Amino acid sequence: MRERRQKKGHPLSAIRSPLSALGLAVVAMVGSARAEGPVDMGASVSVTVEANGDTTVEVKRGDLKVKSGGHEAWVGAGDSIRASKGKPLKKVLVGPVLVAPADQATVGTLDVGFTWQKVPGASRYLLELSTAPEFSSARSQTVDSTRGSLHLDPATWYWRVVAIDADGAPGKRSMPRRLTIDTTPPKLKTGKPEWR
Amino acid sequence: MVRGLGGKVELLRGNSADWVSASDGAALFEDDRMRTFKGAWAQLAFEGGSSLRVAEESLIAFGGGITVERGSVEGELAAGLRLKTPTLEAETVASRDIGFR
Repeated sequence: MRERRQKKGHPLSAIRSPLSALGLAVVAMVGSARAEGPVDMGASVSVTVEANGDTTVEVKRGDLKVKSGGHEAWVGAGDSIRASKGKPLKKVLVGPVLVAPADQATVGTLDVGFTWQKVPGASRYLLELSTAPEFSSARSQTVDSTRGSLHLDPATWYWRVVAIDADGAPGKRSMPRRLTIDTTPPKLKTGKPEWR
Repeated sequence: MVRGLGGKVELLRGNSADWVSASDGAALFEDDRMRTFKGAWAQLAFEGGSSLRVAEESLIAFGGGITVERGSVEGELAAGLRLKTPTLEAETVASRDIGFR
C-alpha cells in the first residue's frame, strides 16, 4: 500500500450508468487519455467481505485506489489491505516464505523443527499443522521467532505459517507444505551370503 | 452477464421482490442483486472487459459499480469500475500517470 497523488481530472466518479454501458464509459475514458506508449489498465483483485463487513482486498495486478473511513490509499500489485469499520486502512502482512522442512519432505523423527523467513512488521507467527490439506482441526503454535518445533505423530502433515502484527491482526497465510513423518526403521536385508 | 455458474445461484431483480434462479447467459442490470449458496459459484462478464468469479455464500449488488455485501469475488476489473463493500470503496485506474484533457 502506498500513498500517491490524486490523478487530475479523473472522470470516473461520473459513472452511474447501466451495467451494459459501463464498458462504453471506460472506453471513453481511455480515448481521452494522453499517455506515451501502452497503458496497462485495470487490475486483478480478490475481495473478501466477512460477516461483520470487514473487507480484505488483495491486488494481484495493477493499481487500486481504495477509500475507507475518510482515508485513501493506493494498493499496488502484490499488496493487500484490510478495511474495518471505524478503523484506518491497514496493510495486510505478506505470507511468510517457508524454509524448512522442504515441501513433500519425509523425516524419521517425531520432533520436527520448522523455519521460515522473517516478515517485516510481524511481531509473532502462528504455525499451523493439520493432517488434512484444508487444515480442518489444525494444531497450532504461536512463536515470537521464525522457528517452531512440535512433537507430531507419524502421518502426513500439512503446515503453514501466518504472520501477526503488533495489533494482533493476522496477515496472509504462507503457501502450505506437506511433510511425512515415517519412523519405520529401514528393513534389513537377510539371507545367505554368497561366497565367491 | 452470467458466463457460467454452478450450484444454487439466485438473482433478485431490481423491480422484483422475489429471488429467482440465475441461469447461464442471464443479463445483469442496475439494482439487481445476486446471491450464491454453499458450494455455488458464478462467473460474470461485463462489457468493459471486467470479469468476476463470485464465490460461494456471497451476496453482491449491481448499481454504480459492484457492491460485495458479503463473501468473496475474484477477477479482473477494467479501469473505472467501482467496487464497494460495507467498509470500503475501490476503483481501478491506469497504472501509469495519465493527463486527461
